[in-house]
Amino acid sequence: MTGFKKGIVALMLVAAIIIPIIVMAGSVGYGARGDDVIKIQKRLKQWGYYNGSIDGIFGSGTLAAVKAFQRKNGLVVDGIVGSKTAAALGITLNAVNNSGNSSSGSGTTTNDVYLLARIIYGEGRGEPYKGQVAIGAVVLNRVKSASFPNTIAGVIYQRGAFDAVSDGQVNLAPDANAVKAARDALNGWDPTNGCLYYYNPATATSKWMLSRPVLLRIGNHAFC
Amino acid sequence: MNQKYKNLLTYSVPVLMGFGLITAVIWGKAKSALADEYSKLADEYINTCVNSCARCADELEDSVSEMSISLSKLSITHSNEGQVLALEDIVRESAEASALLSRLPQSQIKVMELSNFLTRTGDYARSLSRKLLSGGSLDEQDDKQLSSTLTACESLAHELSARIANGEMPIGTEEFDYYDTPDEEQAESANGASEDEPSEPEYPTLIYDGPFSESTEKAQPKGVTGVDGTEADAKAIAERIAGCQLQSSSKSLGRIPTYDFSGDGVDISITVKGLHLIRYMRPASGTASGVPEKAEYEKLEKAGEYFLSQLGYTDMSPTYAQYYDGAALISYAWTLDGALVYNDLVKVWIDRESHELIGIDAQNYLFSHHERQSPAPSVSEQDAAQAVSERLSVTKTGLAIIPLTPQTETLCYEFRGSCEDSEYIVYVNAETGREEQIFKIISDENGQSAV
Repeated sequence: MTGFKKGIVALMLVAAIIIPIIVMAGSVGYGARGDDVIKIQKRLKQWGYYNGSIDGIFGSGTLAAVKAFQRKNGLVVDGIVGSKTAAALGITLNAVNNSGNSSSGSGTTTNDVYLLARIIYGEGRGEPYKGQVAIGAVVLNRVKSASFPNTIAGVIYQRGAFDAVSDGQVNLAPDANAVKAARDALNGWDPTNGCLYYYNPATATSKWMLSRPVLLRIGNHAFC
Repeated sequence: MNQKYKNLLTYSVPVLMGFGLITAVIWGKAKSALADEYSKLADEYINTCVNSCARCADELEDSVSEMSISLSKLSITHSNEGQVLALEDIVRESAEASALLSRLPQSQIKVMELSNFLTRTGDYARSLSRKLLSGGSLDEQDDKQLSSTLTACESLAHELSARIANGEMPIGTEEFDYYDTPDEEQAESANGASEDEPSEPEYPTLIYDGPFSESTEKAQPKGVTGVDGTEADAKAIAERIAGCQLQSSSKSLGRIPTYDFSGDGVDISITVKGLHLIRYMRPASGTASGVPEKAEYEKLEKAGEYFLSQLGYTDMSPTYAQYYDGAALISYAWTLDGALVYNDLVKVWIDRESHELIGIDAQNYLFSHHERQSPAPSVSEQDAAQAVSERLSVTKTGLAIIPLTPQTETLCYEFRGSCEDSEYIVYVNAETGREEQIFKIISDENGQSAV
């Protein structure tokens, strides 16, 4: 009996040592430490999945956040950050080749991607992918127009500009699709061909808006 | 037994009722205390919002007043240096004013004209300052436009300060309405016009060349050549490129009208005029991200060039690359006798796994491509290099045609190099030998971009 118990304990010990080693080869999971964990925690915190401290230790808080992220994005919910989850998070793991860490000076760009992804998700989840990129493109076309605020945040938070901001849906954590749509829009893909407005013809009531010539329709939205 | 039960009932009912009453009173007290606390909190939040709006309004009035002071100073400044300094003040004040305006809780439609005026005044001032710095001077049209801008600015400052003095928020913040309110019809019948109509333009129209100018907004594409094609022909072209059956999804009437097709995860748009491919997008097969090894990059670059040549684009050179969601995005610029033409840009998305073409964005190219004169620099490369900071250790030099303003291009020498671990590109005008523009290259896990 005691021998059996000892055996189990020994097996668990071996597992506890071996599993993280296996996991470290190309992916990051529970018990891991280091730069990759910091990267994962930072991104999860930024995207609203994690609210613990950025300590570089993959603990239960990080595990729960990774699982929540995987569930939301249709990934295998195993709590391990492998290549697919890392890609969905938009990060590259250095676990194997610990080559120089590039400067993280592009913080503003990452924030822009994320804010744009949130408005896309809040306004257009359920729309076809092209329609999601189109929402991002309208925001960016407004930034470039003299009639609107000149920053992404200024345009998004302008009063009454987006229903998803008025009702708080802009604060939902976006899925990987919305993040990709935001990146495509920021990289210049504009399916709207320069439009500054869109509305849902089934629910819009503004006479002024409805009087504008519709230039194209994507999914449930008319763009003008 | 029965009696005992009855006694129990007579005593227990009032006791229970009394107990219930006391509980209810305590619960009610606690609830009302909580409600008080909430309403206090709500008041605090409302006050914070109102105060921050009041502060914005005050600061907006300040910025507009300062703008008009700078404009009036400019009108009597004689030296170029003095004019540039006044213009730069106007640039800064107008940027502040438009940022403050955007923070007021106003619907965009109501403040659209005002926003246009504030942004364009700064943009115009920036274009004049550039003109002066490159040796030009203010002409008669500029004097006229500046004086009407000054008049508009002064009356705006007056109006704002009068409204603030009257305890009104500027520009009617008192009606807290969105432009999608259901009671709009009532507002319309009461006032004779919809509340959401943009106000009558009372600001001067500024004619200049800048990113926010009206002429830039109305610019017409130069590269969309040919005659109008039919939808059936467009569909055949789209299906040949996508390699699958597609359905017509819509006709888009934007700045470059297109026939749009979709199907099988593919979205593709062909211009009505000339039937050019303008946009094509389909999802990548993998999820690879991060900057690839050099060997892989070279393969991706070759693949991109091959697809471009298949589509009829020749003389295209790769510039920047981004990597995300299983795709490599390489921007190719048209090359004219060795000079990169940055306006004529085609973006190509290549699948990292299959190296297949998964996206094209030729919007920039179709907008600006036209026949240009062969580059003939009047300044030698050695002389141009004199204009580059000694701190930059130059690694690569070439010719490039870059946009100086949205509507003008200039031939420049492009000096790529590094300084203290950062990479830069310095552009030196090949006509004047003057330093024109500096870009900093930002490298991160998604690739490179220039800012």
